[in-house]
Amino acid sequence: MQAAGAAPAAQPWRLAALGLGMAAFATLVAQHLFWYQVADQAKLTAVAAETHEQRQGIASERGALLDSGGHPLAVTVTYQSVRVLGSQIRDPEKTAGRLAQILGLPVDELLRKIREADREWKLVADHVSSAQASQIEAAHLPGVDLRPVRMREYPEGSLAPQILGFVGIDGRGLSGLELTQDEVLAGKPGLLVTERDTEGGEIVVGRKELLPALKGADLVLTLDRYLQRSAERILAQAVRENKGTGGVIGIMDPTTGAILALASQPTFQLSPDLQFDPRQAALYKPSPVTDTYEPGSVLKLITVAAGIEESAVGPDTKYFDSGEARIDGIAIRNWDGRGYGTVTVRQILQFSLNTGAQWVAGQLGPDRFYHYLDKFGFGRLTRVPLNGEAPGSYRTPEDPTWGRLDLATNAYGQSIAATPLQVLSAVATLGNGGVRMRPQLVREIRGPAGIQTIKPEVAERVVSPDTAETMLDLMRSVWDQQSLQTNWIAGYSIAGKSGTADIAGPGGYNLGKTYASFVGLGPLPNPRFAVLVRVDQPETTWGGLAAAPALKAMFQEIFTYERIPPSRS
Amino acid sequence: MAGIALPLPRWRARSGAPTGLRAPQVSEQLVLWIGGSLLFLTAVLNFYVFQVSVVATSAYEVQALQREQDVWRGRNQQLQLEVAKARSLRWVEYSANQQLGMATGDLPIYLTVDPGNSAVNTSYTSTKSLRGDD
Repeated sequence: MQAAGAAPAAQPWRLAALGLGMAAFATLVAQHLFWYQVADQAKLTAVAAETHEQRQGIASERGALLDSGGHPLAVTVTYQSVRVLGSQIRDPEKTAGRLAQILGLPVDELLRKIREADREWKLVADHVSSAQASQIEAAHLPGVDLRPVRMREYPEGSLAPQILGFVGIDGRGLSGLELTQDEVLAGKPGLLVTERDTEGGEIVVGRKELLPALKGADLVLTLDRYLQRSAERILAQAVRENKGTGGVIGIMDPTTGAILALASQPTFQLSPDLQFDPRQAALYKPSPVTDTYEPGSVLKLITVAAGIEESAVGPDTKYFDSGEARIDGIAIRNWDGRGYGTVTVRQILQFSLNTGAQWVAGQLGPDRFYHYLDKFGFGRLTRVPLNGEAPGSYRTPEDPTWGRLDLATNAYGQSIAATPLQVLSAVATLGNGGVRMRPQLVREIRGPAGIQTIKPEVAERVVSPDTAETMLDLMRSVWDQQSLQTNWIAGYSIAGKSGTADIAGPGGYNLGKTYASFVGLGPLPNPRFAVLVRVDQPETTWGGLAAAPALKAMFQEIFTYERIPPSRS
Repeated sequence: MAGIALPLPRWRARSGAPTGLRAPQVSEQLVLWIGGSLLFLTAVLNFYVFQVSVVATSAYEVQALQREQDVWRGRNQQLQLEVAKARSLRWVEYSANQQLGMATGDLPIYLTVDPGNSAVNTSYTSTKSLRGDD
């Protein structure tokens, strides 16, 4: 009999087998640990992160567009949207009643939406004010959720819609400055990385990484809200009274190139709930820089300025006008078909003689004429920050299709395509002592890093100060003609020039349909404003009749608004 | 019969307990060490739980404050918009015309003041409407 408590005899093979088994198990565990911790570490970490991590983008606040006085033209405002999930609402009648009380919506409609939202969240109210949102939050209604919604608002109403442009539902710019300055305005979105529980909720004590969103910069424009509004009102009236199809009014400070107003018709209405409509795409583009036209007699200013600068002609150089000039067998006639006899260069501008303008261009020769067209900015982009800008075009002697007739017609503004902004900039050059400034639309960028002021930029000197002064004198004599007396503004001197251009169509010029325009610089002797008025296809046809009254109205507004006292009685 | 040998109190062990199955000797230092460790561990765990609860509470408070901040920021934006709308030319013009019955004025009158003479001379006046074309 074995003594009680005595251990059985040890079996060495059993111990060895047990040790081997444990060693094998330990090796297996170690191998798996190596796989999980080292070999597949990156992959498994990613899977874990995907399972637990919640990456939530934080939208950045879009910067505002301000006018030159700092008044907001387009701002982003955060509202709240209200959603419901029926399955989480214990007492639908009570919830619907409370929501109806706060939101001012019918109880029946809310009750229907709650019942419809049995399985997924359903929107019941959009763009709820913060005051209402606070009330909803304070009510602690289960199954009711608030979500922030950002909207672009326009405190001044639909002002300069084609210039400002608009944003899409994703908050990104779709046209105008909203599009071209999107990167500056949009800022940088942030990111919030949190851990989530099995139900997808955030673990408040879990890991949290926050990359804050950077607010977009505010842009201070050169546009003045009063002048812009006045320009839009006067243009609408001019188009209506002349039974036109559209038009443009542009105002520029010649000394800086700052665009103070740029109104165009037809256009669209800016509103917070505006949605892109492909059928209206043509209205969204900033037509004063995208659409070209033949400027007509306004271009005679450029022809004469070049002639005087090159001493090819002077203000009193005489020319005999027979009423017709034949170039390559084609007759060029004056607008009224008349011959004016011996006239001076001053009278060529006063009477707007096509024959005289082509004669001045002939005195210059094509090389010098086209050199000045280029210097005045025709055929070149102004680089104003608007989408789809057209450089305009005209044939030069380098083109195989160019002919002497092109020089003649170009001299009085036909067979040349230019944008209204190019024409305004060229005219402003004459009001700035012959120095062309680059058109400016954005004056200041107010970003998180500070304020960046964009200084006026000189494009180039085009003509001498003497030539520019002579041109102002010639333009003044154009405006002071008796035929324009009804448009004079007592006490103020203005320099101006009319333009009436036939509209080119597929089969040639469409006689009877014109672009009637008038450009002006004022007040003399030191013009602070360059103004272009164009009325498209007016019933009265001529620039002096259709556009001059609008130019007068525009200058009256400017002088009153800018408190410019009269300089003569 | 199997049994568990419980450590005996020290005084019994020292006073000479019956020999045979003697309980293992446990030093006083070890008991103190284990007891102290347990107390320390309990304190640490309590502190941890307390800290976690404080952090959780704070996190919920931060969340609530952030929500409140967002609401206030939104309200601020909406009020700024209302102010901008009230100052807009559209509203000013509407108020002037419709509510106050104001009409467009004549051309402004500019006065020339001679610094040496208190008399004021009217340099230019006109009754012509500024918006004759409107």
